[in-house]
Amino acid sequence: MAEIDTIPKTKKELWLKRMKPYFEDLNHTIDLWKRNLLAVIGTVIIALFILTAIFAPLLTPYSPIEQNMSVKLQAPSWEHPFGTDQFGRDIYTRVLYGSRVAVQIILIITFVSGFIGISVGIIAGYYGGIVDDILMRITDMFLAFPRLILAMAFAAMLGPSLVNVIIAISCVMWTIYARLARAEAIKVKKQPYIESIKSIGGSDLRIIFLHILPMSISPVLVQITLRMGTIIITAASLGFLGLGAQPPSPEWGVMVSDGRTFLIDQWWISTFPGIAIAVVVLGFNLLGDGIRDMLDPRLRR
Amino acid sequence: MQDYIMEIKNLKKYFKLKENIFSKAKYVRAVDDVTFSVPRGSTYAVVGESGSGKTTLGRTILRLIDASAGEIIMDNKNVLDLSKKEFMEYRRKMQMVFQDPYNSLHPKKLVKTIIGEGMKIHFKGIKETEIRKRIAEVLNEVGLREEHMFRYPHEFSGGQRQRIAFARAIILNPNFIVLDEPTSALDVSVQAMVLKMLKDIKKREDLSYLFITHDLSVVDYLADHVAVMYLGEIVEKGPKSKVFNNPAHPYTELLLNSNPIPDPFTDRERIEVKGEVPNPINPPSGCRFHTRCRYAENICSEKKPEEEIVSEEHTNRCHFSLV
Repeated sequence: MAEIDTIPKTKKELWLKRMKPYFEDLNHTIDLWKRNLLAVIGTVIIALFILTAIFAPLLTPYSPIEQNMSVKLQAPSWEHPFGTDQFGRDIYTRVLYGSRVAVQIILIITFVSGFIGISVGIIAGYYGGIVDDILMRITDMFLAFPRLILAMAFAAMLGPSLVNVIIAISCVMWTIYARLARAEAIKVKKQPYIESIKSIGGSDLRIIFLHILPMSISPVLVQITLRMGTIIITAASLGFLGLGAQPPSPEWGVMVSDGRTFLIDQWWISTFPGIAIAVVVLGFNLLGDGIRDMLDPRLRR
Repeated sequence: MQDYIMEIKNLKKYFKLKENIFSKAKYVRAVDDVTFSVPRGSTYAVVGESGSGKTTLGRTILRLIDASAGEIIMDNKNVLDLSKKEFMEYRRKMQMVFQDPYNSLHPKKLVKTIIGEGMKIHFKGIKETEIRKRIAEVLNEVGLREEHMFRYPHEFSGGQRQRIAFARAIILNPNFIVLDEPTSALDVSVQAMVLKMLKDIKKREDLSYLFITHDLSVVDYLADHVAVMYLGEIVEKGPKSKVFNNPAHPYTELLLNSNPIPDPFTDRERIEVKGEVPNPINPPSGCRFHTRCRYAENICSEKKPEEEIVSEEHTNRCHFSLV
């Protein structure tokens, strides 16, 4: 502690002092990130993916939905770089707009399933005993089925639509987060500093929100990023099977399915959305692996 | 009559072990029928080796874990009977300082937040400036400086962290503090300073301590009364001078004998320690100490010795009292 301590006078000074360890942490993380080529590639892919979703209308002159039978089933050309489908819609445009659907799906599912998973996990882990038993047996029930099959069952039950896909996938994704959050909560609640808050009279709510949640959330957040790729694949699979987004929505899974019958002669209809799925999922996986490595305490410091 | 800040009567804490269909539920008797009273303004030390239930006793008194049976009387009320809401006042009056200064402070919070949290819990709607004023006060009191409140726990040494933990305990103006081996994680020179601080603050703030430790030199320095615990039971208790000068129980004698005297030329008879602490799930019959006691005879394993009065305030639980 070479620096001389002073009492922070302004709000800004206090804030800087408070954030200093986080800034140092961030710098170190960025260093690690720069050294990890695959993580950089993943980040670039995801950045492009998000930018595409935001600026889709600026990148193409066509509409993703309007049909133009005069140009149907055209091979890739300068005018239609990815070709056109059986209704004369530009595939390139539809792939771009598809990223919007994908971003929407990811954001909502991540938020919903993350919220459910973290709440269930932390409550189970903190209270333990019978609460833990009940919540974890429910989680086990969901985990007992293969995720895709369960999502299909939910989607089929609720009826095919984009909203129902989001509900169905959220219902299967939360279990992983719940288990992880529970394990973290159990670990944190045994720490003496939690007991010391109890001894000064802190309520359960206070302990959960102010002490356990902030200490146990980071591994869950990493897992959530790692799972974003899975979410896209599951959503696309459901779309492909007709259980998800419905045509004419430019959802990638639906588009792959649309082109199925033309695959021999007009390969581009299915191929380009398929490549889009593959690239984005790859991006998320690389990024997720990178984040996991960066947060690995053995690699840090 | 003496004024007691806290009277503990027949306190028990049994931990249930996992039962299965083939065996009856077993219990670990961590605290078994413990009775003692802490005079107001004094330091009551509880000594015993690892696994004797000292820490469990402290945590049960503060209701961090629920007692199985017994009474804890403070202000003529059994605090174990109070509802959570009613107990909040006593949460303020009774505080605890934990053994491990490295894990008892939240690693990601500023010292200000850690110390001030109690104020926020007990005085709803208190102004930030008032909290800060009080934090500065207690920091001064424990020998730290005001500007330390804007640091993180990891920026402090073990002794300083224990001072912070102590500041957190006294900010609410308690009158009873359980100190759970507050110095055992510190090195000796720091220990001395922390102990001195504890003594000074006790005098200034009119506190009473329950001091849990295994270190008899510390007891000698700080305590007024001593209770010796063995396998969840208090075997001997009384004023420090009486217990230390005339130990009545063989276990006390053994403990005092094994405490090193920092003088290489002192000669004394060494009492050999037989065996290990028995398993508290299956404590020995009769007197729990008989398996390791050098005076043990048949009666010790058959009959549990009653608590008998050695002299005023000094009680012992042994068939062959040494006094």
